Amino acid sequence: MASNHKLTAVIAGRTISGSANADGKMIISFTDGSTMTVKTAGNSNSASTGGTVKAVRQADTTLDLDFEDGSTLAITTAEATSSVMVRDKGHTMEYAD
Amino acid sequence: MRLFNRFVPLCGLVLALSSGGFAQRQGSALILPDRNLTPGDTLDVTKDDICVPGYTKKVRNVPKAVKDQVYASYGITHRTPGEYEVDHLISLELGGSNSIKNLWPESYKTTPWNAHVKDKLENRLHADVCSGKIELKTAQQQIATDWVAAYKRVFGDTGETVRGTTGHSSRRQPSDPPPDASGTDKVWVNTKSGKYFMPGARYYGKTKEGQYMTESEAKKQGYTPAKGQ
Repeated sequence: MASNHKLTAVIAGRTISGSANADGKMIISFTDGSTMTVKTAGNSNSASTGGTVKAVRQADTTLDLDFEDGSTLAITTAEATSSVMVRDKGHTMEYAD
Repeated sequence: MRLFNRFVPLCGLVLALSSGGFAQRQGSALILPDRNLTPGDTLDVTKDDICVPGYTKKVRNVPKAVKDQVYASYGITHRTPGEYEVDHLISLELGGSNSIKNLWPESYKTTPWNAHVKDKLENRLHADVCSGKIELKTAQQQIATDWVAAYKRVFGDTGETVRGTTGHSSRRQPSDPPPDASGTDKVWVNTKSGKYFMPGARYYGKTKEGQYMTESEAKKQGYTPAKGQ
């Protein structure tokens, strides 16, 4: 699966503080106050609090978040594109696909 | 992200009158997209998001697999380099998304309406949104409903005067009069990088995405001088 360099550059090093699922969206919060919203295909993954993102890989509708502890969170997105958005704590958009 | 179909109740009549829901073609090439395949789709962004210089750089490039899917959905099995681009019906700079619902194969070759001409409209609408002249949702609706009609509405053009904007590039030479500027006191803004160039500069009027405006307008919209300007 190919690395998503653009998203990796944005969220690598950020630590998850929580996650929630609602209305077909998974919202992952990071300890720096930023959030990543993922439009999902109805699945309700949960992200382990405390995990620090090392890299992001993406292919078709699979989005993998690789963590520094070696674990991976696989999220199935609603579409191959237009499903992920990251905003910083000031709500400024940092990434969209 | 929200499906652009939410605008359909507002513009259904316009849709019905303008194209009847079918793609408009010139030969085998499309002038307008097939609304069933490409209704348009937007990201959950606001004017504050899109008017930040460099906004489009934050959006992921469309993967090749998705582009191939777009061509396949339109039945395009053979194409030559420079014949088409996979265009965002609602452009990225207007908050359009990378969803396949917002992508279509737009011709560079058709005349007078082609990808280069649509780029010009996109730049103008972006400037109008950021200057407060038009609401973002209105701009999105206009370009998604019928971009040719939107072009005519914005530029007061019948199409005849855009015949020169064909061929391989819409990039203008510094000696060319700006299309929507009254004089050469205008700077050229690269709307993708957020930098602007003075007349005579190497990239004045030459970047793929950009528009002419006064230096004060450029500064007001948050653009900054390119290195050496």
